Amino acid sequence: MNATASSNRRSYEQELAPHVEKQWAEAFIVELRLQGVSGKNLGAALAEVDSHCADADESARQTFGDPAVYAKSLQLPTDPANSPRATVIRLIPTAVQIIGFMTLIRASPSYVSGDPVAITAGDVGMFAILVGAVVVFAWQIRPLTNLVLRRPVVATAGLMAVMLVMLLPLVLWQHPIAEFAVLSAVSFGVVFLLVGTVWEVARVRTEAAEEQISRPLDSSEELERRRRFELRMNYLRIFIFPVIAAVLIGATVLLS
Amino acid sequence: MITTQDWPAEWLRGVLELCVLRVLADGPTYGYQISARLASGGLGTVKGGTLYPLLKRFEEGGRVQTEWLPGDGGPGRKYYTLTDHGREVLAERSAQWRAFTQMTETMLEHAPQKEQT
Repeated sequence: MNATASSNRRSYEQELAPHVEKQWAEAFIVELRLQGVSGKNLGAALAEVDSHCADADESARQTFGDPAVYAKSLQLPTDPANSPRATVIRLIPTAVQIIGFMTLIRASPSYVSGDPVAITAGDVGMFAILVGAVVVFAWQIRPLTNLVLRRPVVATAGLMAVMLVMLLPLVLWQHPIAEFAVLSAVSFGVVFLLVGTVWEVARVRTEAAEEQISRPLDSSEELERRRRFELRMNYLRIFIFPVIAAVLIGATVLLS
Repeated sequence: MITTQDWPAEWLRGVLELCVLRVLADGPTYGYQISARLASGGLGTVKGGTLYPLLKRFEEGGRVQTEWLPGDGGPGRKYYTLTDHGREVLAERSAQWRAFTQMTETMLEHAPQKEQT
């Protein structure tokens, strides 16, 4: 059995800290990520917990208590690369992807009919609310993620309220303000989707090493193996938009 | 043999920093070993949630230097070594503590005793 096969069966947290309960490690990582602590400092803090639990033969919860409280008590420095401004900038390639994706979906009824794609005032309003919501989320990522983790019912109700507000312009303002030929709309969507996808792949490849959680005694092989695993997870997230767009467009054309 | 009592928590909070510095004065050591030394010294169990934030503050304050070394067949360990600044703090606080306990003892000696009937 090789190391890769064995590590595939363990969760990411168990691989980083095999002597720490998975849920404890997960909550500890989330809390420090929310605080904007670098992957290097996070890895060192988790490795020390793992080392203590292995020596003491005790659970992390027994000796370190609540993971979020312990994470806060360490008062680790915030990495400038994780500032709210940097987080918003990091989201730009995904936003470009989403614009391309939504354009292609919006234009889908016209693929077969060949009618022009009408953009309504409601489309613009919905898009403005969406951009605003993403910026607010990125800027207030810590309190909002705390809300999702600690009061999921309130968070879900809040998300549904935002979605309802996003739909309101579509219902209220249905008059077209511009029309585009199908070819123009599809070209715009494809270009944005491709540019966003390539940009995000490049960003993830460049920044993956900086964002990666590394333990002080990790060998370069271990780091490289985990970097590849994290890259694969990121690729799944990135390529989901072009794949869904291709499937939806294909299905629309085939079923018409 | 030193026996462990249930010391009042506020006493432990006050003395923990000094005791950890004293353990570190014996040479480079790691978190679990510090906690074991505190327990065998009679201080009781000091939880990781209390000890490691204190060690982190020592590190930030330049009282200790740290180094990660491979463990004995287990995960790596972070070793803490007292710096010259840490030794100065230990000497200063030890002197203060002795003066403080002496003063407390004097006060207790002169406290009025309950009359026996």
